[in-house]
Amino acid sequence: MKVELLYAALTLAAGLFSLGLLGLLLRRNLLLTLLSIELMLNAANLNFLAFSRYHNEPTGAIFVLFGICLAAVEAVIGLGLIVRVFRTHRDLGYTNLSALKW
Amino acid sequence: MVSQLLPLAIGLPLLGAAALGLGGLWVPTLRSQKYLFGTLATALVGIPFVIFLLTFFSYTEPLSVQGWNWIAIEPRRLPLGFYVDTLSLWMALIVTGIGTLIHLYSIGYMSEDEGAWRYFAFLNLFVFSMLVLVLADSLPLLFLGWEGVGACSYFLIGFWFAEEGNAKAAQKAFIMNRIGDLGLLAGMIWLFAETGTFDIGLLKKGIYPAEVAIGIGLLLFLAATGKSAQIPLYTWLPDAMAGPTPVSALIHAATMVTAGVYLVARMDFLFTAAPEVLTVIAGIGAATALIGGLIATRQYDIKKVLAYSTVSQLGFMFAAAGAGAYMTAIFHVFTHAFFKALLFLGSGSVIHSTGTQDIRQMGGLRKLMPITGWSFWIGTLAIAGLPPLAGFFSKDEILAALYARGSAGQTLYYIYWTVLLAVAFLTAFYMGRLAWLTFEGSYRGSAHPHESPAVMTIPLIILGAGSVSAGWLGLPPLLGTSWIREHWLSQSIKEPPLPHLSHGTEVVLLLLSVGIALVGLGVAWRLYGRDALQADDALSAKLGAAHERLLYQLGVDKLYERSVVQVFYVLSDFAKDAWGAWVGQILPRAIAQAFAQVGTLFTRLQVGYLPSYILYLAVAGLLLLLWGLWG
Amino acid sequence: MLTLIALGVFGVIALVGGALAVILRDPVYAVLSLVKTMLGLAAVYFILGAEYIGAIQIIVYAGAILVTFLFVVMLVNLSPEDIPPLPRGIKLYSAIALALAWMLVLSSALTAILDLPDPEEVRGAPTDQYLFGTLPPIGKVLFTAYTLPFEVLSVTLIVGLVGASLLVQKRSEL
Repeated sequence: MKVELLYAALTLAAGLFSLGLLGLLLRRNLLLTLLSIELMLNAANLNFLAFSRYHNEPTGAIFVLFGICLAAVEAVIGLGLIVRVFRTHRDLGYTNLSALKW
Repeated sequence: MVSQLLPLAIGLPLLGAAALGLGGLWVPTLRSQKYLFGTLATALVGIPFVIFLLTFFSYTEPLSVQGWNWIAIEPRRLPLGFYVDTLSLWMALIVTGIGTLIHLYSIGYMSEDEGAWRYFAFLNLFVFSMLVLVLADSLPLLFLGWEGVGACSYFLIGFWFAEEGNAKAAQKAFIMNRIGDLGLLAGMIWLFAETGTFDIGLLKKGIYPAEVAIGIGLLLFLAATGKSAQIPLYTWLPDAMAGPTPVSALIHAATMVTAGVYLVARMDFLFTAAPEVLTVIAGIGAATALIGGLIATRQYDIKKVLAYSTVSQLGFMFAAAGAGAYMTAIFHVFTHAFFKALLFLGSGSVIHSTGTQDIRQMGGLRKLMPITGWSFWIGTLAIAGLPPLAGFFSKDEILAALYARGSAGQTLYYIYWTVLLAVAFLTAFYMGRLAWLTFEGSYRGSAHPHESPAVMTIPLIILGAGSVSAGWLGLPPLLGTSWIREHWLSQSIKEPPLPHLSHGTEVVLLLLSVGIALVGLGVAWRLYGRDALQADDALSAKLGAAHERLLYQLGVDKLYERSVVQVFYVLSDFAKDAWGAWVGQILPRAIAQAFAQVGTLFTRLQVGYLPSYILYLAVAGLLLLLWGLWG
Repeated sequence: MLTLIALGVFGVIALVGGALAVILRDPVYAVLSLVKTMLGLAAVYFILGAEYIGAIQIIVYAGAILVTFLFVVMLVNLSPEDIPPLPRGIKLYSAIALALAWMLVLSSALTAILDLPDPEEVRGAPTDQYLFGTLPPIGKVLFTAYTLPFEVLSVTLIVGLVGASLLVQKRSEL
């Protein structure tokens, strides 16, 4: 695989990651923040896969597989927590969810 | 055989100190056993004396006994070792011989004292330390003994510590000694840096460039001035008279103060390599002799007169050493030990029976205490330098050495010689004054003086015999051979060559020595022969201001107090107030506050507002990444 | 060459979807935009030769995870009014700046990669063919070298399952 392809893929991953980061910083709603996190995870997956292709190593691919599975678990648990929070507070905005402070 | 007994000889006094000290401490009922401690202590010094005596008679060559490794940092090792050659054996004999006599004397002198058990323990400890000092084969071990005698001196000067003055005197002695000890330590380490060894035998073989020899020599001499009461570290010795008189006799007359002279003789090779230092040593010795002699002429306390006399005589010894005549210096150590110990013990006898130390309260004691009186006179004549008593021979040798050194081209020594000649006159004078005021005429006091018990007078008699005959071991060339020089000390000490004096010069010098002694005694007799006290008062009146100044010991103490001691008081006040407040209050509070403020700062970060945390994460992550890439 | 263009096209699709997911106010639309991103990425995986993983991406990510997101959106009855608008002003600019900074840093890390030698030179083997695109090679590696992580992963999945069910129970009968 040519280097340019790798480069392109990695740049794409970087861009997706930055977009996800932007969403993480800007979104004021729990659920949509979680969404941004999923975007970042995908960027990382792309990174791994690009290198796996480049070096023809299985490790990257395995990582991606695991990454996807773990992202699934994490999303499920996160969503469960969000449901819980909603039931208690009736709100998913940040302004009222600030009990953990000094 | 002897080599096996050597550790015993050194160890017995230590054992004595431990046994007597701990025994008296833990078993208070023993303390009242009047003669138990004293007899035991005396025996534990007497036996080593016998051992050394046997060693002396069977001596063929130097003996080296090495034991356990004191310091072992591979590959360097410093074993505890003792070296018995003619010099160290001679010193050991003096220490144990005179020591035994003084222990015996103390049995009587301290019989009424409750703390006698402590006294004998310390006295034994002192003998042990002094033996370690003179028999050590390496400088650190010598230093151990050096410090040991300093410590025992402190214990014994401040023996009656309930009196504040005594405690202060002990402190003064120890601190002044300590200043000198710095010199020994520094010199020792410098020597090690130059040669890589502490062993004296190995050091002897070294070759020392001039600057190094001068530097180390001066440092070692500083230590000697502290221990042997020379200028500038001598003012502790008169104050040390606060201790019991036998202590003054042993430590501050016969043994500890001679440690400085021993050091110079032991390290003869170093000093010979630094002639400039020798000149300094001789100069200081002469100056000290002069000052000591002058002050002694106007003192009224019998022990103070003897104390300043000791300072003066030590000056003689250093003057001899400064002329390169190390053997002569040791010879004077030897003779001086006899008559000074005799004089001190005699004064102790007098103090014991009259209850005072003021000679104006005495008089006519020879008739009331004949043994004390006659032996004291023998001591006086000996120290004055009257032949054929001991002092004459060693003093004459010192003067001859100085004169010879002068004639070798170093005219400075002629000046030293003149000074010492004058001091010899003073010596005869002030000792005559002391003897007449104390023992002649009629009794002026209010007590009932009587002769001391045999325990105290027997040592006086023995020392008297010694004061008469000790000098015969070192006859001047005119009158025969000096055994101590040619056949004994020369095996261990190497002196720089001294020019031979012509026969005629020798005769003149001899006659001068005798003459000076006679003149001094004569003047004293003329003045104090009758009505001694009146004559002395008349002299004080005639001297006027000079008398006052001499009586107050030339104000040297005050000078030191103002310059050195005051500085320390100022520093400690500053430490207590300013520095103390700063370090104790202000600084800790400031630090605590700083921490509190930083803590407050950090608590503000914890807002509980999730987006803030996310922001921190993002920023920190970026920074970490940057650091990882280009860190 | 062709691959590069194709990659570019689908990459742009993914990026647009990601941007929309971040910007849109309607939660449903936001999630659906992300689905678009996932599909675009799956296409990229296919272009890179990882067919199996691309399939997994579609099935699991787009088809399960994001659907679960949608379920929760429905459950919570999240409407566009509930979502506060994106911040304006300094907050916006600083966030964009930070994201750009990250982008730059990550890219510059990439320029170092250009110094890497071509794998052809390193291995001397034909590398046009991606060896792990299909299931059999991955399966072989999965059950030999990576057996332990695989098993742990299954445990993790069970834990997640149990945990999630516990979390959403109505009454606290814990």
